[in-house]
Amino acid sequence: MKKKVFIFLIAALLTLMMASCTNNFLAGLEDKNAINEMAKTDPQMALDLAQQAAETGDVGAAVSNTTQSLITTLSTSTGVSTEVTGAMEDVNPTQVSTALAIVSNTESSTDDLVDAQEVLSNAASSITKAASELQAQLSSGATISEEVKSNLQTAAKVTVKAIATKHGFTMDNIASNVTDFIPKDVSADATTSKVVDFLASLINTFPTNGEIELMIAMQKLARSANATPEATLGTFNDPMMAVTLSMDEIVHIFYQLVDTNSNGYLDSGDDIWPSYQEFLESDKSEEALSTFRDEILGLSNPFESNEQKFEAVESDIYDMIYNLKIGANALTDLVPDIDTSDFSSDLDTAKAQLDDFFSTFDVTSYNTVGELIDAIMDKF
Amino acid sequence: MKKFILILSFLIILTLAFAGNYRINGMGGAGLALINDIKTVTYNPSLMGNLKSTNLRVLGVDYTMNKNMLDLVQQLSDDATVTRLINSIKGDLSKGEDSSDEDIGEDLTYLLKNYSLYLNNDSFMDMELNSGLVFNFKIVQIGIGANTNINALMNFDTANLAVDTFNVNAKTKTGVALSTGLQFLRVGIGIYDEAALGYNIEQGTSVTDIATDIQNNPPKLINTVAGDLSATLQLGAFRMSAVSRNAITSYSKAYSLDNLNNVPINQDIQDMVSKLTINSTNLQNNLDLGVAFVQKGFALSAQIDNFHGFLDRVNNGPTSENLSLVRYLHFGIEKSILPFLTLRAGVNQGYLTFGGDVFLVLGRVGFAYYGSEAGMIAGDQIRQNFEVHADVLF
Repeated sequence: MKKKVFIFLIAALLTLMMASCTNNFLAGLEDKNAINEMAKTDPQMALDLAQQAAETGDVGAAVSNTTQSLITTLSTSTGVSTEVTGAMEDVNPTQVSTALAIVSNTESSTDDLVDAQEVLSNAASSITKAASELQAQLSSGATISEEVKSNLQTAAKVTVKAIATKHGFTMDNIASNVTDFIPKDVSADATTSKVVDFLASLINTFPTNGEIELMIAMQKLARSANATPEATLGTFNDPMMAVTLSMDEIVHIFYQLVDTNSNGYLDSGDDIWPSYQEFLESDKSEEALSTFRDEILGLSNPFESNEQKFEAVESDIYDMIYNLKIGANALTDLVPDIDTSDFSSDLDTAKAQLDDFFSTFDVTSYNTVGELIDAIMDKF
Repeated sequence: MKKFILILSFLIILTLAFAGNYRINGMGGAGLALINDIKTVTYNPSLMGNLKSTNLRVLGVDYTMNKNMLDLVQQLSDDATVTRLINSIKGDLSKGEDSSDEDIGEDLTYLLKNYSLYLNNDSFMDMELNSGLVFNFKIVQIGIGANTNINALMNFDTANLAVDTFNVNAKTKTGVALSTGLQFLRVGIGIYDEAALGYNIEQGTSVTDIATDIQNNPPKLINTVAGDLSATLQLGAFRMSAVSRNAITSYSKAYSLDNLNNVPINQDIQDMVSKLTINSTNLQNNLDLGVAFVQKGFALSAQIDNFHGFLDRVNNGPTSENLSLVRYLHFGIEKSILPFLTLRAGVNQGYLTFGGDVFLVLGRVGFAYYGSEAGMIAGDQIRQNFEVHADVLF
């Protein structure tokens, strides 16, 4: 008996020690306030802190330091107009950080979530405005330094990495889902079943709508520093990121359609929820899938009667297609190196499907957003 | 019988000293004023006066594995591709065939793509071999020692199956140390020749082009002669040590490995020794301080790395070059539980450490777990390490 108690105590002690191992007992001695103050005047330091935070999964610190770095970089750079710096200074890094903490907390109330989404969406709008102003300024002949361009790109990378990694919305996961999705069994039921699994696995990894908007806005700002968006994506030297960004565009559209309570998630407050649940719990037949699609397209779609929103969605779709094309081209460059693996042949198949999609896709031939989404859904 | 007793006595003398880095790491890295084994020759010569009259370590081995590597081992052991790959290679070997068929290539590509990220941003191999001999003549101590560190670090670009950084370093530090003084105050000097063999792959090199890259860009041997100055104040059970690393410097010389036979290395080393001078910048900036309370079977210790930087950080607050206060700090405690068992714990840069060792008939085996800070300030990013040690004695 004594022996058992002794072993239990030793095991409990070891467990406690192992659990304490990752905690830093002296972190309180660091002067974090002074360090944060320094980051406000030292953009490189803010970016370094953001990268560290992204590595450790602290999304709030990563994004707030990134935006702080951009505000300082742009406001202290020669050749950047007051319209650009003014738009960036509208972003409040502390509020963004708090909002990201709220959307990460599973116990946040719907009201708090809606407010947080608004904060993130407003920040994304300001960053997008800064991107437009910067691109307009550069188009008229102004120039900015390579260091500033580099900072903008790093900021986009850090933001996308931090948010996407937190949700598991990484290209590795997406590629893995695509690999599983490619139907080996061509029967209708098997294909439909795979579609259901694919959608469910994707939805489970979606960042919230506000986070998606932030990711898109940051990469728009990075792109705006170059004459052509493609050139900037090329300097990312990261085709997987191009494809991830295109997935962001798809998810953004998805949220605009289904997130009817505007809390950033697909959840029980949304009109689509009962049909989505039924869809997940269905027998995964072709009929069930058709019903799901009808439910989506049968919604009293606010975009069809709202011209501005329609234009926004259409613009997103153009961006998405552009990104996917770049991503697909980048995949073409990748595939020859790995053409002996199962993974690459699956990617090859996926790419062929995407190429086929682009070659026949003409956005102007659709009259409503519903028709556009219908076409995209057909491909999934 | 007489011969047997002599051999036994010799073995006991050999194993009286604790051994290796694992002891320091298990005690939060606070070993500067505490260490009492052969490693004093290269770590803190002013402590050689606390050793027995004759001390010899033929070979001590420390192997450190970080948590990423442990996770990698776990993942690989669960992956059916690994089993298939091993069976495939075994099958080819048993048939006397070359193991380079298409399936193996595919499996290796799969493993590279899926697991190389575990190796990124961290050393995936860190090993130290050490040996040495110290004679303690009460007022004067003389030691010779050798440490060999092998360290490899890589960053892999999974998307492009290319290597961003691949850095292998094998470093051997050999030297002589001399210390003198009375029991309460000793000063030491160590002069070392450090030969580092380094290979850095060019960024973006595809995995299939590594062999060509090595041919075009052969590894280099860099030889440096330098020295440390140290002092220890000892009052009863209390000790305070100060060691200034590379306070004595000369110059370094690099040699291409493909032309080593035609290079007068010995002549160069003699030249470097003749040009050794006190480096006042290093004397001040590389000064480590340690204190310890040592009794039989019990020890407490604390250490501040780079005391000059620590003072600067305390007095002037954080700057972008000197951000963290906690990274300088190390604390440790050690207690013998049984005659053959010692346990230890500590706090290294704010992270908990622990370790222990067991006395065996022909030596001692030990282990240490320690976290260290891989980020900018304490609490940013832990690097977890597991270290095992063995003394091989004859």
